[in-house]
Amino acid sequence: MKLLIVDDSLIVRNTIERNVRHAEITEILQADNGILALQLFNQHHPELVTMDLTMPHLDGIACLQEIQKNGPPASIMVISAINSHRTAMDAVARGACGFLVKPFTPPELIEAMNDLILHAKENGYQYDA
Amino acid sequence: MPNSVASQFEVPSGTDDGFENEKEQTPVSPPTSSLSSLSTLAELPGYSTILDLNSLGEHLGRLFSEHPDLPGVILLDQNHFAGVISQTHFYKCISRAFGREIYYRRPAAIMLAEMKDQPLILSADCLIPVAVEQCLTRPSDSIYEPFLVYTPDSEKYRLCDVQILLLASSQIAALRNRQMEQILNSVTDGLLVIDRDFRIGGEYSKVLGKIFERDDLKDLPLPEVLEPLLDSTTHEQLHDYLKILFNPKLIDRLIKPINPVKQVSARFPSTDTDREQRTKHFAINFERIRTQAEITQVLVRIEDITQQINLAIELAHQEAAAEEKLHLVMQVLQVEPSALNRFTLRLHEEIAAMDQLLALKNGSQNPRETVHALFRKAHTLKGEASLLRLTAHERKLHQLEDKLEPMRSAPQLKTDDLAALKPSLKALQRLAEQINQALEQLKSFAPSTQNQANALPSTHPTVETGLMEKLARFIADLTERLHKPVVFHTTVTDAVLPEAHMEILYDSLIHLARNSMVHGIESAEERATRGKNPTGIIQLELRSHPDCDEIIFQDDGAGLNYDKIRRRVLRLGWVIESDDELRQAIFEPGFSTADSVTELAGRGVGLDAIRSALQKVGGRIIPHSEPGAYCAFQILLPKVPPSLHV
Repeated sequence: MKLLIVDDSLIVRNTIERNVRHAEITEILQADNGILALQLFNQHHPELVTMDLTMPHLDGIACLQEIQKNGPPASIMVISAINSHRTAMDAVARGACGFLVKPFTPPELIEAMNDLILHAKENGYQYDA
Repeated sequence: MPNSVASQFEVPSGTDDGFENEKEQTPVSPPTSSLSSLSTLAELPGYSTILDLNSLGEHLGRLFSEHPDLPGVILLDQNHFAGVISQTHFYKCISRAFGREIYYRRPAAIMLAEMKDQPLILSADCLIPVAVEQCLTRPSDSIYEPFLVYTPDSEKYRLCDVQILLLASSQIAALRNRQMEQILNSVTDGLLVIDRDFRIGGEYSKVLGKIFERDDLKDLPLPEVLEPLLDSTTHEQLHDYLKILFNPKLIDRLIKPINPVKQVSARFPSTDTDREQRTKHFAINFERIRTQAEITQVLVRIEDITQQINLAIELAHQEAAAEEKLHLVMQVLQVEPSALNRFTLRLHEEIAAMDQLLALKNGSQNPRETVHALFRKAHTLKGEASLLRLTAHERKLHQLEDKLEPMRSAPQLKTDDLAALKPSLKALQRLAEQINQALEQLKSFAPSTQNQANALPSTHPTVETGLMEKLARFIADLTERLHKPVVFHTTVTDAVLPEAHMEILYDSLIHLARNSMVHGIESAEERATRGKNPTGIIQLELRSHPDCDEIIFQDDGAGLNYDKIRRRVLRLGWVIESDDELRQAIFEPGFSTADSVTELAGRGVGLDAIRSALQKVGGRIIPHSEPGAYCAFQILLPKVPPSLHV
C-alpha cells in the first residue's frame, strides 16, 4: 500500500514517515501543501493518507473535498490540532475516517496507522500489485 | 462422513444379540450448577449407543422402548461409521402402514437408507450458543435431530439431544440476565445502550437514575434526555457526533478525539431546599457495537465527575490567584519606580475620595453629580493605569466605568443605586493594596539605581526606546536575582517600528531575554573557567530595511545545547535530519516541557507561541547559534502588517 503524508511541517512529515514502518506500506510520499498533495494523490493513488488541516495554498478540508471528488477511495486520517467541532464534522463529511490530534506520541501514531491500514484492507482499497 | 473418523468407532464384540448398550450416563437434564456463558458441549451429557448396521430393526425398537430418553443410535458397518438413526426417525418408519412388519424383521440399514441428511458433527470445545445456532440452522425437518459431539482428546463420539442443548442454552441465558442485572444494579458508572434512533435500551445501570435524577429513561432518545441539561451548542455537537458514531466507515479509535462530551457540564434545575441551579460534571464515552459491517448499537458510559472537577476548579483558582500576584510583580517591575509611586499614591487618594462621595448622606449632593464625578475619576485613573501597562488595574477600572456608564444617562437615580457601586470600589482597593505588597516584596531584591542607570540607554523617548528601557530594566532585575553580571547593549539604525508590532515584539523579547538570563548566560565563575569575560553581554539591534524591519537579539552565553535538544527531540519521537531542523525544533509546539520550567524561565508563552504570533503578522524568527559562544534570534517583520491580520 502507498501512504501520502500531507503536512506543512517537515518535522511532522518526517516523524510520521519514520514511525509508520509497516510491512503493508511499500511506498511513502510527502506533500507540504494541498496542491502538491492533490497532484501526488492523482498520480500515485495512495490507499492511505494523513492530512494536516491548516496548510498554505490549499487547506486540508478543501484538499479532502478534491480527493473525494476525483480520486479512487482511500483511507484518510486527519492529523491536526482540531480547533473546532465544525471543522471536524466537515472533515468527516469530506471522507476523513478519523482523527489523530497533534501533538501525538509515536505509539499513538503507530496504533492509529495500524487501524488505518486495517480500514483500507476491510474496504478493499488495495491498488498496487 | 469421511473414512478417517470412522475408525474411531469400535464394534462391540462378543455380544449375544449383536449390540451392546454403551450408554455412559442417563441424562435427564443438563447440569445446572456449573454452566456459564463459556460452557462447551463437553459439559453436556451424551450417549454412545452403538449397533451394527445389520442388527435387526427390532433391536432398535427394544432399545428405544427401554430408554425413552435415548435420542438415537450410532450404526457401524464393519468398524466403519455408517450413520445415526434417531428415535424420531425410527418411530416415523415403524408408524407407517405395516412399518413394524417391514422394519423389525430387516436390518437397520434399511431405515438408515431412508434418513435424508448426514448427522451434524460438532467438536466438544464448541460453545453452547454456537452449537445452538449450528443446530437451528439445519433444514427445518431435521432441526430436532440429535447431533454428534467429537472429543479430540479421547477420540470418542457421543450423541447429544437437541432438547438438552436448548435447555442448557436457556439456563445460560437466564444466568447471563441475572448477572447482567446484578452488574447494572451495582456498577457505579452509568451504562446504557442506544440504537440507531439514539433511543435508550431497556437495560441500563441503576445509577443512571441518580445521575439524571429520573427513572423513565427507557426508549427515550439520549439527546432528548440531555437537552435540558446541556448548553445548546454542546447539545447540537452531541447530535452530530451521535450520527457519526453510527457511520461504519469511520475508525473507532480515531473518532474518540472529537467526542464533544468527553467532559461536559450539566445544569440541573433547583430543588426545593436549594434555590441555586446546580451544575454536575459528566464524562461521557461511547463504544460502538458492530454487527457485521453495520453499527447497530452504541454503548454509552456516563460518569459523574463533579467532585473531581470541583476540586480541580478550586486548585485552578488558587493557582490563578498566585499567578496574578506574580504577574503584578512582573508588571510593577517594568514600570518606572517614580511613576509607579505617583500612581499608587493617586490611586489611594482617589479611592478614598470616591468612597467619601458614596458615603455622603442623602440630599447633600445630587446622585447624578456623584455619578459624573465618580466616572471622571475612574476614567482618568484608567488612562494612567493603561499608560503604565498595569492591565489588572485597567481592567478593574474599566469594570467600574461599565457600571457607571448606564447610570449617567438613567432618567432617575436613587441612593440605593450608588450603594451598588461599593463592591467595585472595594475590589479596586484590594488591588491597590496588592501593589503595595508587590512593591514590598520587590524591595528585597530591587536593583540599585546605580546599576539601572548603567543599563539604560540614553536616547530620546520613542516607542523603540521605551521598549528598550523596559527590556533593560527587566534584564537588570534578573541580573540581581540570578547573580549573573550582564551588560545590555542596544543599537538602533533608523528603525521606526509600527505600533501594531510593539506588543508582539515586546512579548517575544521579554521571553528571549528571560531564556538568555536563565539558560544562555553562564554564571560568572563558569564563564571565567571557559576563558570568557565574567560579565555577559546581551545585545539588541533594530534595523530598518526597505521591505522589512530586522530585530536581532543576541547573547554571548553557552549557545543552543544541540545534544540536549537532540535528546529531547528523540524522546518526543520527532525525526530531525539536520542542524537547521534541530534549531527549528525548539519552535515546535510541545518542545518545551515542565522539566525546563524554573521560577523564571519556561513559564507563560513558549517559543512556539512567539513564532506563531510573529507569523500571524507576516514575520519570521530565525535562530543562529554557536555552541559555547553565542545564541542569536533574528526577527524579521514586514513593513506594513497585512491588513488581513490587523
